[in-house]
Amino acid sequence: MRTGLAEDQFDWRGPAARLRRLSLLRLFGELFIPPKGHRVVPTSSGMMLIIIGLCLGLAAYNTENNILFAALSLLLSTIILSGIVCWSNFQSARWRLESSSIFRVGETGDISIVVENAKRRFPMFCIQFDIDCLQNATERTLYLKDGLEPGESTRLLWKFQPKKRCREIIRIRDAVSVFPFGFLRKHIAGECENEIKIWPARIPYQEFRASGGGFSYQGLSTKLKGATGELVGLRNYVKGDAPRSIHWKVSAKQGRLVVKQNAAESQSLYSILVDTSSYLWQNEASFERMCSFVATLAEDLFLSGKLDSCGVAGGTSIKVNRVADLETFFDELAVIEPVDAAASTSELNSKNTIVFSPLDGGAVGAFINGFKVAQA
Amino acid sequence: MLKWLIGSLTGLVAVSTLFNLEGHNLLPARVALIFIGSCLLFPKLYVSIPTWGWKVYAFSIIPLLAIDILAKETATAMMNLNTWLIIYRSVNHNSRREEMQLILLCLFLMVMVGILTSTVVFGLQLLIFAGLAAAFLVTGSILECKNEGSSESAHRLKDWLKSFSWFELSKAIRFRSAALGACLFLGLIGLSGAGFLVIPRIDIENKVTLFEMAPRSTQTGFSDTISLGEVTDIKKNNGIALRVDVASEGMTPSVPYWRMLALDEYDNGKFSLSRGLKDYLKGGSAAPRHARRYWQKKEFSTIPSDSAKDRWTFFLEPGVSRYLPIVGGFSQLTISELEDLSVGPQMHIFALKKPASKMISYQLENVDFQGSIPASSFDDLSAFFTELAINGDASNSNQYPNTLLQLPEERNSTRYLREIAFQLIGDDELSATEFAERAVRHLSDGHRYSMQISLPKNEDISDPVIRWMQSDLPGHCEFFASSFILLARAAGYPARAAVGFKGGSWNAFEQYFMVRNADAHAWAEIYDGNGSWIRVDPTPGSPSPTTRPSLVSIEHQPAESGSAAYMDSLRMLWYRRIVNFDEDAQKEAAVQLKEFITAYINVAELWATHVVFYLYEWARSPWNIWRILYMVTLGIILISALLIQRNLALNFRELIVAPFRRGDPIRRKAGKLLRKIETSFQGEESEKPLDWNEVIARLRRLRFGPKESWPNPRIVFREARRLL
Repeated sequence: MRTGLAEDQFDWRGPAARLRRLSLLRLFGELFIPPKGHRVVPTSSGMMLIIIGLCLGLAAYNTENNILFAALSLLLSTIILSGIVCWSNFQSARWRLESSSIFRVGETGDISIVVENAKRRFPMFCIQFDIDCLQNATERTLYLKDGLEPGESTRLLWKFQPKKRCREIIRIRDAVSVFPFGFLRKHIAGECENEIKIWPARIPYQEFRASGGGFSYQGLSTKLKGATGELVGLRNYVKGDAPRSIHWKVSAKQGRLVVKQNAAESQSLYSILVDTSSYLWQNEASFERMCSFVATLAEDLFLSGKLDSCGVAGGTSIKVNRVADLETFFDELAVIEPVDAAASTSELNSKNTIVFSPLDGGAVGAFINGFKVAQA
Repeated sequence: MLKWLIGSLTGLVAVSTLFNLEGHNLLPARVALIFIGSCLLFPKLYVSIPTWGWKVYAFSIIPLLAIDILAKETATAMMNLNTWLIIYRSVNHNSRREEMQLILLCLFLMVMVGILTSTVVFGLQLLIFAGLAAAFLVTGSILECKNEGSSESAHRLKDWLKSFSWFELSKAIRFRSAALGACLFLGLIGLSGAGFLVIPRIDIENKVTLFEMAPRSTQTGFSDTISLGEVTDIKKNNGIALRVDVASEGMTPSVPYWRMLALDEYDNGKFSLSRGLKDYLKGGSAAPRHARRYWQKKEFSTIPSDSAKDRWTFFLEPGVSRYLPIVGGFSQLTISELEDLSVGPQMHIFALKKPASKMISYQLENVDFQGSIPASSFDDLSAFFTELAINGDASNSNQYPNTLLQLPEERNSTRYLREIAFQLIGDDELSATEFAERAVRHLSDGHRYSMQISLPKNEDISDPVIRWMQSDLPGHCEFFASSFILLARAAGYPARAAVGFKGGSWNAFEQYFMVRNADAHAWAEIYDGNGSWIRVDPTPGSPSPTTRPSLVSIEHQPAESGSAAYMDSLRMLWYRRIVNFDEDAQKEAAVQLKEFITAYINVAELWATHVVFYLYEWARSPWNIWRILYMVTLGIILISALLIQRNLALNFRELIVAPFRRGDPIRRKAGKLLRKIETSFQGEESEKPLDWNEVIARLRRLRFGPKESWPNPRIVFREARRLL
């Protein structure tokens, strides 16, 4: 019944995901006593058929007409066969849930169900999967549109666009099939769920170039040949960067100017500290805006190589050296909520630490040493 | 597109069932058949019909329905309305709801037709309908899934149909899908058949009649007034009129007479039931529940009795007669339409109130095959005729039982008859049988049998029977019977005309009598003065009158076994197993199943014992050098053949099943071996042989790699088997 070579590396679910093949007796028993999570519900046309069957039965017994008995047995056998075929169609199905590693509010991510037909001889038809995301209150049905040949697998894709920053549970609620006649709807518990963290959205913000403040002019590339030192990364082009430092290949790919960042560049590094004190963020919209602003700013600073560390007040500061560090910080951002007491004064007044405060009109400002450097 | 075609075809099959109802107005069915058929053959026709055209059609159904309602024919109105709706829905179904509407309309129509008819053609149509409806629903389910839960496809359907081509469609159908569909259909039919057998049946007393059709017109030769030549006219039709399922064991008459009707009144070549008897049959006294008054030992019921085993089942086709043919005396008549049954004890006839519009079946228990029918105690004929003989002649009275002695009104005719009768009797005192023998001989001597006859004119005598008697012309059974009756009456023996069928052919396939319209026959019955009516068949070639006709066992019945008989046996099978399936048949089926299983087990046991004994004897028989050599050689050949086929890249079994599987057989086999090897060495790194990785790599190349890079599959498979 089971196929595949290195199948154990996946977390398969569904009737065919059993490690041991069930005995025939047990399989037969399942027809009458469905396992937990399995249920069969008549569809509206199935209900109609049952009612017609009852009427036919009544007429057949009162008239003793064998044509009516024949029609009745035909209806009953349609319902029985519907149940048996649907059950056997499911028997060889197994599935797993896969999702993109990154989900961000307003951006599309992939959620997919990999379905495999573990049968040896018969194809599998018409299975649909109900997926839901509890926090985002979104649900979707994915359909196995084409018959799946024995041993084959396919991927059912959902382009999911989250609406809300949160820790989200994506769950296959049910695998459903109305095959073959559409009279009975068989549900099997999906048993799959993935936890994902949805990062805050990227939002536009305004940067201030105040004297003694701001971070745009910090760390310039030198125009002197041979004085740049070791290449440590890439960052966005800013006005004044030497044309020779532009990485043309990457710029062409990304559609914007990207320059090579060298160790020799003299620059200041910033830390981001998010204060989640509830007295600051009494307005929920401002808090969400702040989270999005923090994520956007952190990403931009990292790309320009000016981000040293990030952290949430009251928590551990994350030294950002790699993309993975930034992602860890974003994961934290995905789940933060306003708390009663968060940051200490010393943390907030540290040198080159960017902190965030609500401004009038629901705006959020970023401050370094009390100077506003950006606003969203 | 396929779904649309199947849906239309389903509608077409449902509508075609209406042609089983001969009394039904077939105009809507013909319109439906032509329209749906045309749309199926030329789908562009459907596309060309504008939307407003369908709206006009929908409104035009209302007056059509009103006409049927005004005609007060409920069943017809419902069937016609159903047909008009099927015409619309069978070509306009684009959503799940509309598909279900079509299926339900078709099912309703088929159920109605099924109630009103019971032909085997309908059974075949029901079977086709079941297959098409199943295919229709399956394609609907698949398409719904394909369209992500939406079953609407109207906008695309018309585009598809514009470029429709049967050839392109046939190319799209895969063998595999068709085979799976066929399996599903067979499963459905199998389950349905099992369900039909298993659904518990309860015989109830008061059955309900759901729909009734206007009665069909019947053969005039089997009505209560028969003119000369009408029975002979029926003989020109060779269709089956009656099928009789006889008791499985025992004897049957060598020439059975299937008596339907006896007639007493005579008028100028025409026999009829006298008015009193007709009125009696119409009145409440003819109800079967009153039968006990004059027949102590006869029962009429809707349920067969528990005791009798000797049962004859009759299947009378529609349009034959409202009078039920019987083969002789009986102890019980079982018929589901008991409320519609009228019993005429005087003539020993059993009639339905109206001619049946579908096949009627009934059962007789403990049938006796005597050549006479006992007169009922309804009227004391012996006393009546004795008194009549003493008090005077009343032969021309139109009142029963005087009619049993009625003669032609013309004096010349009466005189002629009395003269002949006097010649036949002479001075002898003859019993009824003796007189019958003489009269039959007299008629046979003067006339031959022929179905064609033209009587000479005679200005003195208008009665055609007398004119025929006076001539030496050949005649058919009605002339012989009428002549005999008039002679008997003239001689003072009460006599009456009987009509029905004579003979029939034995169907060797399903073991039953097939009685055709061509077997229609008329004969006479003469009263013996002792409470019995003796059958007398004066037609030349018939058995002589006797109360004990010759019997023959079932095995010795001359059988008919041609293709026509085979086709008819299918119809009988349908009647026996489906239409007439009841509680008793269900019990019988259960017993048969048990017996079959027991017999099968016994045969298997016998075979196994036989094989064991054979092997034992074979081993015990003396061994010599030649026998040993022979066995060793045989063993070597067998083992070599096994090894050779095992070492082939694909063995015979794989080659046979390869066409039924998808993909390359070599790749499949490689995949199978890979799975086996990986399962057997799972987690046992130390136990893996040295060349394990190499073999696995080769197998994977065969499984997944391009064909150009394949190693020799035969060698790789052999190495893989070695690892196992």
